[in-house]
Amino acid sequence: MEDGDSRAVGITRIHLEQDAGKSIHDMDPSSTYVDLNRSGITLMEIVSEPDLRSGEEAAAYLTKLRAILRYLGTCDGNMEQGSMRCDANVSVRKLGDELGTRCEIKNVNSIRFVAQAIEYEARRQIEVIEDGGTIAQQTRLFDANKGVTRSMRSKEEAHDYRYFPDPDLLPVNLSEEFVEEIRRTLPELPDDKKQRFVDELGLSGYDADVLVAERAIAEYFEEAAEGQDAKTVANWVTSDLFGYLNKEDLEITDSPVAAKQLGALVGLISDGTISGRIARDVFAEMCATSKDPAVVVEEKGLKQVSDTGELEAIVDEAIAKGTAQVEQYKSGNEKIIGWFVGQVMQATKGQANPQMVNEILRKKLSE
Amino acid sequence: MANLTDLTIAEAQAGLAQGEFSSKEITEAHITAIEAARDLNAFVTETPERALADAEASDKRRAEGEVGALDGLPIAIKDLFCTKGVKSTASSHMLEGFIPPYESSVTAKMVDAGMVMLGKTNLDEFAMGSSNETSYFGPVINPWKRNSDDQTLVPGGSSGGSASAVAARLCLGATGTDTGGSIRQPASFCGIVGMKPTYGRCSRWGIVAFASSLDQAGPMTRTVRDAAIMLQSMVGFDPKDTTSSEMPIPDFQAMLGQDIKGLKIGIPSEYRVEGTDPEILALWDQGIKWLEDAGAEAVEVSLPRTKYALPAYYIIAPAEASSNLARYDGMRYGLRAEGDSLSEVYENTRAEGFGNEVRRRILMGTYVLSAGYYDAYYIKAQKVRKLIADEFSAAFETVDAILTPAVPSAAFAHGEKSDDLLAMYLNDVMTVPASLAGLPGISVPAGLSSDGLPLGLQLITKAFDEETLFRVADVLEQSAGFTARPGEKA
Repeated sequence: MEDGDSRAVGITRIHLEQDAGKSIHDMDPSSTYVDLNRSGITLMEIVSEPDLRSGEEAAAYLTKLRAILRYLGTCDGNMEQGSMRCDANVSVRKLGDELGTRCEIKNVNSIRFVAQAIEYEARRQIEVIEDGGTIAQQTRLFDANKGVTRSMRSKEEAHDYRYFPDPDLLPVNLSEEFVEEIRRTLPELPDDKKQRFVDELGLSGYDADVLVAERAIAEYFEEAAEGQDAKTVANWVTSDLFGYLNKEDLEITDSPVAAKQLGALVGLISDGTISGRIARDVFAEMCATSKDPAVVVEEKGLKQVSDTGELEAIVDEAIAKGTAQVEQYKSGNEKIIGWFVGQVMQATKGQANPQMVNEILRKKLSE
Repeated sequence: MANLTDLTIAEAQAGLAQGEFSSKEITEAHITAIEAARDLNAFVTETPERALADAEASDKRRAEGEVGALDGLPIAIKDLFCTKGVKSTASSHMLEGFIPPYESSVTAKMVDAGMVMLGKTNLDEFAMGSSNETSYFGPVINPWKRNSDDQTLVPGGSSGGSASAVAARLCLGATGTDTGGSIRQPASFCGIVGMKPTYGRCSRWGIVAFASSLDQAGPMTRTVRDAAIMLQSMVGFDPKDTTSSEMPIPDFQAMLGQDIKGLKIGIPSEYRVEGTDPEILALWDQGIKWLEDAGAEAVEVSLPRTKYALPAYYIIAPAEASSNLARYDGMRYGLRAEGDSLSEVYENTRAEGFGNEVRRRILMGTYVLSAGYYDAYYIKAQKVRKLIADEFSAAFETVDAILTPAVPSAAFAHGEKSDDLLAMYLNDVMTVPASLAGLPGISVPAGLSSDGLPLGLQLITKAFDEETLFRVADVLEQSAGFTARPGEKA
């Protein structure tokens, strides 16, 4: 949950179907068309226990469920394209009472709409009951444009599907070994990954959460962080990279900066080749051209000035210019050192190694 | 040269191998016989041109020395099997114009083995019936007649056309399918051998589905050996049928001609069903004696839940049928009746396409699967089915085979039982238990009634023990020495 709380949601069952195709009744006044384009596509129905208490909780559950499915690679979870849909059952009750009569909202196709539909439906049911009415069990549809649910069919019209075990499909007996084999080969799921990011990479819980939310992001991060300082990489991914992707409305899989390239950029900072500030310019260039950071640094001559002799000469010039500032420093205003750093950076177009500049300044000003 | 239509499959194989006659000659003989016997209504579709082409191709293969196990043998196929490019109707108006674009797995194997296909035989509509009177294409006539009158008799069902055709020498053998007795009961009525293998032996792929957990194809022939030969070319694992078995396939003929000394034959007293013809019970006793004389030991076994088999069957089979037949909605294939709305098209199609018996079973199946009735009927019937299977398993711990009558009565006249549904359903009372348990069974002609009609005895063995089944059936056949033929009044 948003507030850091968690809820346990029971899974009643999962069943598999194949899409049988669909009838289209509204393309012609007198004919029904049959669309078999999705025939045979596998469908997994996950039925969960009545453990959720609000639209927000349902949304959090769906988000987590979708992340798990994406990690497992069993569903791309793309709700706009119909690869994941939600039927939400909603009932209301007074605190401590038995669960009330439920209405099912069918085929909601976004997590946001699920939350909206549930909140609307709960309010509707409360109104009905408070007006002295009773809830009739029925199937409803969510109208996303108006933000309301409306009745599709009542229980009286409900189908009796007459399900029975299909004699053409034999029971499948899964051996313990098979189950164990699957358990062993499961990919790392989001919660485990988050824990590892915190424990082993030293990330904050917040950063870890953001990075594991989607499998593609986690994979990008892990590839970028390989051999680099993980916290720095995490910062780059969550601030600069996400900022750019959001601005350009891109998915991480479409990022112009490859994971390895971002890792290399952090590497250039760590080994002192460029400063963090210069790195932002390099990153901007990488976003525009998809070039390797080393190439950008080379082409633009952005390499950090770390030559002691060269820096000492520039520092000397700055000290010569700022006699008044030197006085202030000597009289105890150490903060004034920033003014000297600014001078040096200006003179080097920001390419001076800031750490070295600081050291040299302190040494020379104390002389 | 002997009359080519009188040969057994084994004799025809030998004759073809020795060049005594060609496949073309034996095929032509059968085509002539079929034309002369059209009043039996045994065929829905005759395919003489296809048969002659098959025969010529077979003769050519033989000349080149490459022959299959059924090469050049004229055989008829129950019209429940889909045959590529040949109308496959299930004897229903619903599929009257249906020409499948593919071949059923069983018939594909038979084609590969070199079979000559004479045509598609009549059956009860969608294999639902025990007299072949429910066929949309009219009833089949049994070539046998009573001594006492000249009424036409039913051939049994649902594989009535196949049984009648084999008995009347219109083909050397025919395929049948058996859901609750649809091979064994007509075989008994027509004085031929009818064999249902273990559920899973023959692929059901491409056979119009009636009750998927029960349907099983099998051979209908004039001798036990012929049944073994034909079955060999019908069985085998098929990935297209999840219920098809991967058990190794034995050489079925290898067990023929062996003795049965020391085998234990179970005799279940529960098959002395009330209303069974006393002549049949006497024949059963005679059968026991034959097997004892051949060195087997008859052992009483108890199958106390036998009496629940028929009621359970008439819940499970219609339940599955109601689901399987849901596909005939006028949308994909088969009949389409017009209507002003989608529901009307469905309703009109099904009302026009299905006959009374099929509708009755769909209704029964729909009822027993409906919410509120499911547990009381369907679940209970499945439990009964399991208990019946368990009883058989227990019996087969002490005996090698079980001998029972195949039917409670000899063939009856057309119309005789049409108004009495229960009497009609009782026809399968001897055969249904083995179907529910998925066990192999065979009906062997064992004698004639005092009125001159053939009567069969049934052998049942444990699952996948067709070897013992054929071994005992062969001895039973030898002992009975059944040589009577239809059309020869005593």
